[in-house]
Amino acid sequence: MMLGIAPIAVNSLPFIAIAIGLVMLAWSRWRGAFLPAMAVASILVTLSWTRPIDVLALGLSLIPPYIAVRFVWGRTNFKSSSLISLLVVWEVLLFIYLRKYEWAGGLAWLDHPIAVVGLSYMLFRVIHLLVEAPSLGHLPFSSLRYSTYILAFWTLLSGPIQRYEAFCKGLDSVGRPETEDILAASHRGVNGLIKAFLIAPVFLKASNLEALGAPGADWLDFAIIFYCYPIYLYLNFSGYTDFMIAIARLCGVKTLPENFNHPYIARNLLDFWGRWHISFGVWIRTYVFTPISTGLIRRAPPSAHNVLLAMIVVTTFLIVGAWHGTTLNFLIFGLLHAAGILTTGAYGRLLKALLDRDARKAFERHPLVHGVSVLLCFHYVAATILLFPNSVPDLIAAFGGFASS
Amino acid sequence: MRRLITIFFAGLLAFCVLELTARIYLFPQYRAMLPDMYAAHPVLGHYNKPNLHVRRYNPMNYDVVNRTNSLGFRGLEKDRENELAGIWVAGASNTFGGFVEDDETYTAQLRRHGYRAANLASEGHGLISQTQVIRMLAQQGYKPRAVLLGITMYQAISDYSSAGDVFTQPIGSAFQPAAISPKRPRENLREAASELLAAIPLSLQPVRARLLKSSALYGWGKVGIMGIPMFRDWTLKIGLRNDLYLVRNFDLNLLRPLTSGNPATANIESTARYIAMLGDLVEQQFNVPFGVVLIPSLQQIDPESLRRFTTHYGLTQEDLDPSRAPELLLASLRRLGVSALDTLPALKGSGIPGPKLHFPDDGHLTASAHAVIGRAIASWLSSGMDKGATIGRQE
Repeated sequence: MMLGIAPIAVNSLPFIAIAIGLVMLAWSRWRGAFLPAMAVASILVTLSWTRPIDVLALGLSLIPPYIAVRFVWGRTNFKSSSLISLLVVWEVLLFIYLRKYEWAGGLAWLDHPIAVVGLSYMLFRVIHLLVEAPSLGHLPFSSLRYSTYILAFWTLLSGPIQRYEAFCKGLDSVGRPETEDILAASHRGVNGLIKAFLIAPVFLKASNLEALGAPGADWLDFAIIFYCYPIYLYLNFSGYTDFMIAIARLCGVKTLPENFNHPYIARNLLDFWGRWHISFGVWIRTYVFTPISTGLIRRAPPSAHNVLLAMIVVTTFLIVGAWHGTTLNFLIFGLLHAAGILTTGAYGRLLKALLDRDARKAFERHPLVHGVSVLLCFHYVAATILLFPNSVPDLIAAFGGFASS
Repeated sequence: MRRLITIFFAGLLAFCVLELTARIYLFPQYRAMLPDMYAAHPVLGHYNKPNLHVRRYNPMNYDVVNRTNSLGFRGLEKDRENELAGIWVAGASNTFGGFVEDDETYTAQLRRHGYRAANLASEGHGLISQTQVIRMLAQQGYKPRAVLLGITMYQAISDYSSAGDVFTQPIGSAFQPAAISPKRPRENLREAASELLAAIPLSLQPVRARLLKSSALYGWGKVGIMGIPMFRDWTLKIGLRNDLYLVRNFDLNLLRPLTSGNPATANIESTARYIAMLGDLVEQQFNVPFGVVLIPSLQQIDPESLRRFTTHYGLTQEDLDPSRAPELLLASLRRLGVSALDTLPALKGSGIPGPKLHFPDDGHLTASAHAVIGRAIASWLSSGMDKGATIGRQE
């Protein structure tokens, strides 16, 4: 590693020290130095995870956008979008190359040892800045802000994905929160640590698919396998996010976005994506779904709108799947979610055709309908999430073997 | 309330900074106090991890590196085959020599005297597990020039009357559980939940072990502080450090008159018979010389330790002699036709004071003692191991 020290993980003493150090700085009269201190802390955490070759890749990924963003910052009359498009394409291609996608087999000859942590989240922030730079002229921009925004230690590894406006607003509000807010944030942070690092691992261990082949495994065992990984994923990810949001709030920064809102009680997949990894969902909608759908549908005849929309949904969720992981499994995950979203849409249209507005609302709000919807949605999501840790052949073998036993 | 919160966070920050400072400057050796050295072994139950490279540190005692080859034997990978074609030295912790450098163990010292030797020992191993090591190597096609068994008084002496099967049963069956079937998911869940509950300490011992492994501040307070001479006596006085001379980790009967009524007598005979059977195994498997190297106890090499021990426990009126057991074991071994070397005369004759032959806080042998023992073994090998079976020097 670059600094010759162990990677600074979230549950490590150096991380806690950095976090509390920043909290104390934010509470002190020297809070004006918060930004440089945050920059140093973020660079330190990043370098602890990287080797020289990773830093080189990081430079290739972050420096060209910085120069471009600096150039177009606040220039609302900037006409040439080709520069931005070129850089977005560069970022995406570099990302695909660096992530070593299993299904991008054609790139195997370009194999490399680079492994940059947090690259996926950096990509989001960089693209956001590239696209929005001309309209952000009212906000300050400097290399210090850029590096802190991109590498911010509290969002480096797993988000949440913050917009630049929110980042700047957060910096402006750095200071000592009210006592109630401090206690609430501390409570949330400790809860987050407990969720992510104490409770979640219990469910991870129990989600081992091979165990379904154990002699005497029955439906209770099947249920344990089926539910444990989704529970683990939620506890781990939301616990981590809770911890990060808590640190930011203790520093007076209230603009780190929420990432979860009880996702497993969503009524349908559309609702689910509004509750699960929210900042990611918002980003995808803003920078993938909306631009593509607006651009294409405007040009297409109305008769093709439905088919076109379906294709855009599928494309969007293929990107969602590919972002989550590098294997074919994640593409299948994306396709299944696209199918779920399209089915939800079709079901909504069917209800619309059958019932008037009030009757439809009453039907959807009926406790039985609502309960069944939630159960169906949760089980569909849980089934697709099983694709994260397991390959399709393994899943078929394990569940097939269980069903035939 | 605001003040309390500030004090809490400032305290937490101060602790983190202190701990990090301790990790970097004050006591970076904290990771070397309880290194993770062992792994489950398919045949031997537990054994040294292969390709190990760990530092072991205890101030005023040792600061060394332990390395193992790809089979888990003490030494370097590049020497593995050469060493296994030489003399095999089996044994436990003193033979493994975990608190001296790789080239300071008495096995490694043999090389200086012209003998290549493989160190098969492992800390915590006994005669039975070392028998399995020898049988495993035989099964893998290795053949030694001679086999030596290092025995430290009084650890190896036990009742082996029911251990005869070890020589005949399939290798590893004494340790290997039946074919492992995967656990059911509910068992995995229950186990994981139990582990979580087990993380809640019910006694101070696991907390201490965890702190020693993970906190440089605690490690310094517990162990590092002993590296400062002015604190050494104080740590002993307040009980932070055990008095080595008062540790009661042996069967007192072994020091008492070895009459027929003393159960230790039967144990010594049983140990000798077991070792003789091991000698027979070596004879049958390899047809090479076999011998025992007797490493004296702390009480033998450092008489002050016995004086302090008997005074502390009120045993001054008892007839205790630390050399009774080794003498009887030697006599029994020779009666059974097993070559044996008592290294006590060499250690006493070395002119090195007793307390310098073992570590101050640990009864294991120092590098000086290993050197003396290595020299004594080399001389014994070249003189025929009491039986005219001279082992020629190789290099």
